[in-house]
Amino acid sequence: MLTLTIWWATIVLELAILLRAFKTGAFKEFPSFCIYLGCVLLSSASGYVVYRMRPLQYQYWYWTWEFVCVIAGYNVVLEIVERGLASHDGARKILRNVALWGFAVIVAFVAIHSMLFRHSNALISSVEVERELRTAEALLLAAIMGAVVYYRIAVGRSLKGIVVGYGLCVATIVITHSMRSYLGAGFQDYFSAIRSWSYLFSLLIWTFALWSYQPNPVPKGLGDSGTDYDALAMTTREAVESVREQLGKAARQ
Amino acid sequence: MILLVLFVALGAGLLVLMYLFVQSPEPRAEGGAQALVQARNALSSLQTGLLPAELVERVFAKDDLRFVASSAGVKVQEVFLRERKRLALSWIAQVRTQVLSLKEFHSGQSRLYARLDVRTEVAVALSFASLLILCRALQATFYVRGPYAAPRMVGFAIIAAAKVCTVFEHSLGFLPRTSAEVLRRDSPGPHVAA
Repeated sequence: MLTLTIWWATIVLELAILLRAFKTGAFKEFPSFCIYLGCVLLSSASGYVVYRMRPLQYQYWYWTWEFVCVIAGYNVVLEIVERGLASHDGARKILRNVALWGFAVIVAFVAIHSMLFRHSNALISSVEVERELRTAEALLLAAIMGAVVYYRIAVGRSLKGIVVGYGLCVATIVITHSMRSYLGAGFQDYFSAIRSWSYLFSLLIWTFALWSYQPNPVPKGLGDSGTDYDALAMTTREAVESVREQLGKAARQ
Repeated sequence: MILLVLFVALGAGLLVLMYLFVQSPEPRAEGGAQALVQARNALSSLQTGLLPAELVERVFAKDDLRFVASSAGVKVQEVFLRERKRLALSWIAQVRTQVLSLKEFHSGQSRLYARLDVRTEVAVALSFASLLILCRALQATFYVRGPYAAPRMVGFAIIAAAKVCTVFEHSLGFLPRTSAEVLRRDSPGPHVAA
């Protein structure tokens, strides 16, 4: 009963977020996120019907939609890079390249994995494939958040909410999938419960973040010159190295 | 089991990073004169306030200890050592704070450049990280072994101050003219900051 209640609650929240996104204009700023949420909504709503009408087919239905959602989720990560670092070209280019290479590796991995494990237990291999895919997303999200924290880049409330909600989803999936793979079917009930609750929590974060759209602050740039950057980087490195060298020698005395 | 630990660690690490991401403070005005003034003050503080030979020599010299040992009782010696240790810890903590300030200056400036080089940035980040770790190690050394654990600090500190002075003077030289003018106007200058 509780599971079904959470199920319905997530459907209602997904609908509410999408409606608010259309109304406030957040849809134009975060189209990939809205498409992702639309995919999850379709998955949840149709999954409910399949679960009621054809319970035996539900497992295959679930995993098919899960992979669609993973690909849509990957676009959300790319969108976070584009929107979050829109005013910081250097960091954005670096992270975009990392994300595209990551995507190529993911596609190659899934193709090889599906060829190698065609005849093995479908559920176990699905859990493992999704875990690997989500791990790549987790690493990319970590790189994005690391860049934002290191460079102290200003991020608006809406984008911050999307990052935190999605990060929570991904972190929970990576942890629970690895535990599911290690502990086996005995962990299945906990696995489902933890995922449902964490996803509900993510939806609440998104609802709060996207109820009214808040754009990212636009910084005033200094202009750009490669020579300036080289000089800045070089002088900083020299200064740090000299201080470290001297303190290091002193510490060894 | 190893895979389980790795994936759980990755998930937990992502959650910690999310916490830092949410808690990250409001950024300074990009490229503003305030950042330049803070960087100049941090540098001045290191050069003239924390690393001058006279100060460091005085803090870590054993003359005072010898004098106290020869003319006062055990309790007075204990108080002296305790106070000198507190002074040494305070000194290294302030050095660390100013290094952090210089790090913020670099990251605050470099994020604005389109030609950001990932290798350079990683190298700078690692350099700062190792320097900050070294400061922590010195803190731990002073805490455990007392204020006289690194007696030859003086000479090395003088050389470090001179090098830092030279390279950061250059780095302030290539910054935009308008910012530099504001900097000259707003900065109290090294002699005042000392």
